[in-house]
Amino acid sequence: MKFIRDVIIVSSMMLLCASCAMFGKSKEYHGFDASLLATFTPGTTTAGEIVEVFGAPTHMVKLSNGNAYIYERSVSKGTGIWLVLLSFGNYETQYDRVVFFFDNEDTLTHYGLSMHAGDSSYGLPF
Amino acid sequence: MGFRFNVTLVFVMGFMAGVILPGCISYQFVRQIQGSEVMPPGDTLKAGSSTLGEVLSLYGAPDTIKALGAEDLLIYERTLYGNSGLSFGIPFGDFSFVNPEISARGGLGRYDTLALFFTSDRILRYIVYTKGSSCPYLKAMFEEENAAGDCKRVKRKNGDAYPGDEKGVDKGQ
Repeated sequence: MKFIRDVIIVSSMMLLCASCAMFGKSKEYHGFDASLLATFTPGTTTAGEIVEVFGAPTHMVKLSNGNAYIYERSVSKGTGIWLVLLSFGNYETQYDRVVFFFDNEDTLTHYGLSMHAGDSSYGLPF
Repeated sequence: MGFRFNVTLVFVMGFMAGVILPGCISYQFVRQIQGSEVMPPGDTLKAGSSTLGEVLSLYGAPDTIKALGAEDLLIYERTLYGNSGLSFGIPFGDFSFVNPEISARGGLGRYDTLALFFTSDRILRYIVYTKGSSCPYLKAMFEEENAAGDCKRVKRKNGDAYPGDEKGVDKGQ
């Protein structure tokens, strides 16, 4: 009888511990180098010079008084855990983004930089 | 002897329940985050005087840019999406055409958004800030759509400061 009970206890514990976990990562890559921003000067740098250094932009937007070129890349990290009755998932996407604003003569007026792709993390949803 | 029988019976029932229940009851929760935290507009931004350069140096590159006639719109946004489901079913499907199951599922998207409207001279004209993530999941899920509650939208031209912190690297000129 004790043997049967031990088997059932061990089996029950194995059943409760039966779970599965998943980790995943995906990237949308664009090889721009944000440190090169220091070489650009608003008021004199042209759109052509920026494209020469950064390559083709991810998006272009026509503005009321000029254009904007957007360079973007992202990192996504996913975590999933399946327990006996419960399952949890977490999926986080963060971006690195550079935006250049040009006037109607395609001269750089402003730029903005956000580097958050490295903040993307694995984890539970609570 | 009777005591031992009862303990064994409990374990047997627990084991059987552990084998059968996973096929019958399950709960899932998935959270999806897109974008970094949006810093609330403090007193640093003033409609009518702040420039595009000041906004870019404070918030970095916007998530979305749009032209609205003679104005431009910059949007900084973080999306928090939650999806949960609870299902009950009896897994007869392997040996029968009948496979009864009842489930309840729901999804909720909440947005922290800062929308900045600029004139064609790139002077800040109007600020709108919404912090949807401040509304708890269950409250947002079951609150009446037209209720103001804690989840109301915040509109402003300038003025009050909001609590918040900055993460990552943001800069601009």
